[in-house]
Amino acid sequence: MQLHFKRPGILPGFWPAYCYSVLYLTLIVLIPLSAVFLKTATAGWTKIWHTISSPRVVAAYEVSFGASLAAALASVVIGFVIAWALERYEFPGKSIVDALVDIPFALPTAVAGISLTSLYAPSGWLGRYLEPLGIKVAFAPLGITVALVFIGLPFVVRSVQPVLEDADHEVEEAASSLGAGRWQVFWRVLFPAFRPALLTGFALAFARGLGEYGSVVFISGNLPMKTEIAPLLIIAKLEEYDYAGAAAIATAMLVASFLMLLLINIVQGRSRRFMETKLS
Amino acid sequence: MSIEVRNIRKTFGSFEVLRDVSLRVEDGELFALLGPSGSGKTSLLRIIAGLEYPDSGTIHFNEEDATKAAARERQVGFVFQHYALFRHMTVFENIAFGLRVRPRETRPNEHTIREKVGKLLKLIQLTPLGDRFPSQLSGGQRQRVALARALAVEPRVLLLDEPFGALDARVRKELRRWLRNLHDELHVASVFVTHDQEEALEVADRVAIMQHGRIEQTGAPAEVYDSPANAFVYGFLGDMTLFNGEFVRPHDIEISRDTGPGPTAVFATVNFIGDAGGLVRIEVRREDTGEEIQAEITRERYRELALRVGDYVSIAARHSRVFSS
Repeated sequence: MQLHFKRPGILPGFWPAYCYSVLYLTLIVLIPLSAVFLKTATAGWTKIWHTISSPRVVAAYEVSFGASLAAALASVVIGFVIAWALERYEFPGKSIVDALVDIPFALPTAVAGISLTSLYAPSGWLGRYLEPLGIKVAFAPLGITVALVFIGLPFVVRSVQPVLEDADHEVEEAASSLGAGRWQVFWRVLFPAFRPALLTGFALAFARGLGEYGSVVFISGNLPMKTEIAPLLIIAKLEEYDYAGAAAIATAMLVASFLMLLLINIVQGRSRRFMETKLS
Repeated sequence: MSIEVRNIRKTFGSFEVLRDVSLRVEDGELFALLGPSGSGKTSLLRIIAGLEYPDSGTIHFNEEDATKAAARERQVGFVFQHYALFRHMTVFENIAFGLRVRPRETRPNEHTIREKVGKLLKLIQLTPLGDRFPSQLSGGQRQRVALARALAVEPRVLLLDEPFGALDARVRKELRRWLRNLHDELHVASVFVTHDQEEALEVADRVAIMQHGRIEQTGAPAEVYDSPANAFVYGFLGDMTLFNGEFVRPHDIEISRDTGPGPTAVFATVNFIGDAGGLVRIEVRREDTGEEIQAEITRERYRELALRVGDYVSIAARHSRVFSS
């Protein structure tokens, strides 16, 4: 078999860079992941199928994917507004807000989970006002989403910010001198330029949400069939020494998230087609 | 449509960019704003376009006050130095943009848009490249697309900010001749900003020369070149050298081998010879004052004189000018 590489060009270091990437991915990603698959395989197809199709596990997948998706969408909207405000306007305390964005990266997620729970619990500072309105946040799927937005937000802000910073102001001026209104300038001219970065932010927030455990277990209440997330079930299986079962749940999640991320990447590739600078 | 600028002032922070600028561009005229960088020419253009507002003064389109109108209401076509094309749109969509963003009542239908963009693509000689993205075009092609995009909305005036500034010398020359022909065809009042005096004098019907936020002189190219209002204009429109305390164009310095004594004879030695180009550039040093003087002579004359560095010659000025400061 012959492998074809794109001609590496005149920049030196293609082979070291390529070999290093493969080595790194193998050690840190591929080997641990294949261990998961191998462990799953020890169980036999019927057991695997039985584990991952049990109603409790299916419900947990639904909660995990549903909440992550909702949280990623919310993060994209909120994160974009924050990035926009930070890049476009001058306001007092701007650098503090800018620094605060990164806090979720640094904070132990359990701390975030506990704080959010005490805020949104029916007796909490915010929860007590929401409860009479019939809005249940803590110990409900909404609570999981809130926790995941907290975790996912910085990914969106930090992916979009550099693109906003680079945005060419003249393009907006050109659009308005051609008769476009503020909304038309935003939707037709600015937004398409930000779309690839927003998709990146979305993918990161979504992927991070799927894997998030620490903050969610506190706020979700972990009610079977209702607010249990898939990572929690994996831990539960491990505690029962059912390693193959845990691996099976993990494998199904891995495959599903890999497919989703692949899809996002394809969409993203299409949305940045115009960036190709090849002169043909 | 005519453009009239009355007593415009503009400051950025503590910096006065425009100090009481007034000018009038007649309908169908191609007008150049010429000046060194920092002279305020681009700010003036942006104020005419509505991309910037003046601190005081007014802008009139056909005697109608447009000072407070937003850029999108002014119906001006603006062409940026760095094109400012929408890079996620094809060439076709870039040109169609101004038509597509019109309010529903005045928006042409798809068929009309196609027809119109097709015509503009033909005008800029890029018909086969309609579905390319801007990143797949050369600089000159991009600027032509930017021009077509501005023309698509049938602007009442066309404003161009250093339109050829980012292009290489040969493409610049081609494109400015093309712009001149295009203007003669369309006859829409156009103002372009440039720091290149050759470009301004070659292309424009009239030129305004600016310095430090003021207009130093306005007039037809021959007029400003032949009777410059002051030393700045004289120096900006062509090379100059000082001779006996007066301003002289280097090609008006005469060099001769006749070194016999005379009442007005000035003697000098040749310092430097630059003989690549249509004219030969000679730098001489005066014997009496030690001043260095630039001269330009034809190649023919250069051969006749058989000049070498170190040669002893006499110099005289054919025309010179004195400006009261």
